[in-house]
Amino acid sequence: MPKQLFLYGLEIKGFRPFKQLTLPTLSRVNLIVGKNGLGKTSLLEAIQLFAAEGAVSKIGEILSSRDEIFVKHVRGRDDGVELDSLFFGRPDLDLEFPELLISSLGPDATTLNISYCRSVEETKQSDDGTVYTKIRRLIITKENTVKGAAPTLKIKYGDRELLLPFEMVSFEMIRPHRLSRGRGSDATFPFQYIPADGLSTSDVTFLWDEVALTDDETVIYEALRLISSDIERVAFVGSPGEPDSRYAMAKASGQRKPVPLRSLGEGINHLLGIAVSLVAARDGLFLVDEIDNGLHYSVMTRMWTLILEQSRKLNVQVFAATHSLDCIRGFQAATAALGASDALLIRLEGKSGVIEGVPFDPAELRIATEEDIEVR
Amino acid sequence: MSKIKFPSSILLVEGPDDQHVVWTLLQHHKIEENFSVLEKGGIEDLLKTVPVQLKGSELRQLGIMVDADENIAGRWQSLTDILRKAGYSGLPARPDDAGTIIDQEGKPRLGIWLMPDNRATGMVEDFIRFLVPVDDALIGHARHCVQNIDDSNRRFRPSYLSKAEIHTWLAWQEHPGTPLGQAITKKYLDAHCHHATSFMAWIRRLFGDHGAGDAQGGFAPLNPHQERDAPGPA
Repeated sequence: MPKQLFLYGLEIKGFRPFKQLTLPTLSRVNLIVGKNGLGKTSLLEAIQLFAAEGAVSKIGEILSSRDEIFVKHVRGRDDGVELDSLFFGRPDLDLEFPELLISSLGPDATTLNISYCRSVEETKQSDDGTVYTKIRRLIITKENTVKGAAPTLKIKYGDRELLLPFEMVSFEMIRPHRLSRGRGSDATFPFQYIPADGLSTSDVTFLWDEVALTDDETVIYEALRLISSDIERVAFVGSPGEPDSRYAMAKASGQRKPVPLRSLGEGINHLLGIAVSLVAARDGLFLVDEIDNGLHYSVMTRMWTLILEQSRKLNVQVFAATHSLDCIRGFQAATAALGASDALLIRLEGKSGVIEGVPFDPAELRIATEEDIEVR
Repeated sequence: MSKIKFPSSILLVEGPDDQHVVWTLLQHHKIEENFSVLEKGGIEDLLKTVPVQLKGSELRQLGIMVDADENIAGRWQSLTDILRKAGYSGLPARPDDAGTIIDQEGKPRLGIWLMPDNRATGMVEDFIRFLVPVDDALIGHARHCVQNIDDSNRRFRPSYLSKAEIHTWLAWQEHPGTPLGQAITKKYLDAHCHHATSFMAWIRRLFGDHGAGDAQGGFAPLNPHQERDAPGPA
């Protein structure tokens, strides 16, 4: 039952470290590798921004996750200095009107185009002199002389266009909260993201509550048992009056009393985060940075087996980044054991912002592993 | 850590005989072994490996040493098809007599040698045949014997005539049945004949940027700068 992928290919121009990035082929499960600074994390951000159709909250999340903005007030300023990091080469926004493009390739190709410009608001009076309409007009000239011109983001997704003057955007309101609450939020395509430093306990708790008592619980237990095979049940507990500070307790077979899940080993919280995110990403996207985070190499193959199987069942397209050779070997072993063809390892390479993806399908990855060819 | 000693410089060969011939010739020509000779157990697996090797992030030079077999144009075609798919352009229509070298901006240096000499059909045994000293008394006899086997008793393909001839000849040396590589070591074969020298020149052109021959004899000590880059937090 081959289902459609969200992204069959991807092209990025002008976004953060990418002057140009082209990934002509993507698969259901994509493992991204490449040297530091080539933009693995930025690629994951670009995919989220595209899936969120350029939602301003996502832009704020991306900037805040790299400490580009915190509660820096933008209102009243016209230099837009915080936004320059969104664009390749950090252009001087006083002098340039940069734009970035994120395009899906293949069937239903669509482009997200975010550009920096200036706009003015004009009031128009209708012929009978009674009705006023406010319209926002884009200023084409680069001169900063038009009175009242406001720094503006033009966000175009497909054929929908939005002019967003900074006066109306309060980045202050955007908390550095990186968990997209999927369907409920302004993300029009459901996706879940685990940043390199993992999900917070409250993020995991929130996602757990979505899964608890559903059939999908089995996926969670399957994941946890990769590390601790005798886990019977998990519950989230908290102190009265502190509903936000719940944490996971686990009961192992043969044990009378539950123990904190964290005590069961390094990496188990990360694995819990992966499992709940994967389930929450049903019919959508799951993105995870440094997926090997804290996981022992012996777990890698089983983790990838779980992800490959569940991504098919849950119809989720997966993008994961890693530096770890053990993680790559686990990925290869899992694809070989399952005979999976819907997986791809992609190495980012290039220089001066012109990046391409070198893909290895499971058959090529098998040869590379057998012959000790460095794919990273 | 890679198990391969020189992951950035690889010579792919078809089988263990080819591998040993290369190693022995390096020794005789006092060329530092600064590349890894990988035997692929046959042409098919070798051809499957080429595109994956070319995607490896550490590769700087890739040599491909294969038998021309019975159809040199066909072999050349299948090789260049693979290389074109891997992003190489401007590939020559036919192999260079002196061994093909392809340098393309942003790509690993490529070398192709079609055994025996980039011109004739044949295989590594035909190359070894060139290395038999010109004044050898037995080689003519070996050839005569092999050619006179009547068809009903000949169990090998006609294209294996030279292979049978060289192994027959090797069976008559001081140590009968000496493998090809050792036959060079034992000096049954001439490692400095024109054909061997020409092959070694191709090896030098391909891998020579970081290791000319060592005039002192034997293997030069490993240059630490040629070691694999430390696998830092890639």
